[in-house]
Amino acid sequence: MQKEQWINEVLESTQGMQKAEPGPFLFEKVTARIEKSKLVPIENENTSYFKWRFLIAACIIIVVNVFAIRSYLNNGTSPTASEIQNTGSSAENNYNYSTIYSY
Amino acid sequence: MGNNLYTSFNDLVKEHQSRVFNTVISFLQDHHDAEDVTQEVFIEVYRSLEKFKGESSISTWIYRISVNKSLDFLRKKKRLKRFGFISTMMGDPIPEENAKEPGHFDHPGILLENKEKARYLFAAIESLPENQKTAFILFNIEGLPQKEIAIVMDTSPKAVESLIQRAKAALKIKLEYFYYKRGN
Repeated sequence: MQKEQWINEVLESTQGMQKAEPGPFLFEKVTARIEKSKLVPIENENTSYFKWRFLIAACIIIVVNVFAIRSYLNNGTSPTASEIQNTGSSAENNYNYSTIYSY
Repeated sequence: MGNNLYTSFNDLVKEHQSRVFNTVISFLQDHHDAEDVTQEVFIEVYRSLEKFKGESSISTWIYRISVNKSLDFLRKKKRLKRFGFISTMMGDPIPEENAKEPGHFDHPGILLENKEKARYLFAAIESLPENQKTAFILFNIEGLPQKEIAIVMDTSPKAVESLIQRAKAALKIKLEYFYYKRGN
């Protein structure tokens, strides 16, 4: 009985309450924040522009690395400097051959 | 912003500031946070004034913004608390917020003779789910009619009535727990 009464009194404890008031200068604080936020979008635009550039660059690096790792795993070893040089020169030779026209 | 716009916006702030603050403080139960969120509500009002179609009254629309901003703030705070819990596990000290006992909040509008009991009520309100909390605060503390609460919450008056009943039932269970905890 006592418990029920206490619970009901607690539930009704907001009766007759008055409106709480915010601190002074609310309007001034709001307008100051609006004015300040007008500068922010320019900063945000730059930030998001750089963020996109960074993301694209990161993606390119990741893709290049994935291809490098895959080709390394397929070949078993990484190509030596001389192999690279040879490959370059053979390509060069092929290029030369293909440009010799014997009509 | 032009001076004329500022003047009319000033009138709007003056007219609605106490009901916005009163709603927000009932949700957040912290004076400093409520001041901050009240400002955010009016910034949103200013930014969205052009979008206001006049389908509901302006006060209903402002109530909706106040409720949304308050719930957003509480969700953010909850996320930070979760992060705080992880930090505590990592060895950081317990945040002050977690150390608070139930019944810490004094609503500034409550009559002096009801202050102690209202502390228990607000502690119990804090544990309600979002929609029950919104319906209970708008009905019992703000004194809005169920029809207007339905517009604010974008639901039917019947659903609001059910939410208020469920909120009261949940509050009774929580208050019963407080009754025994306080040593009766």
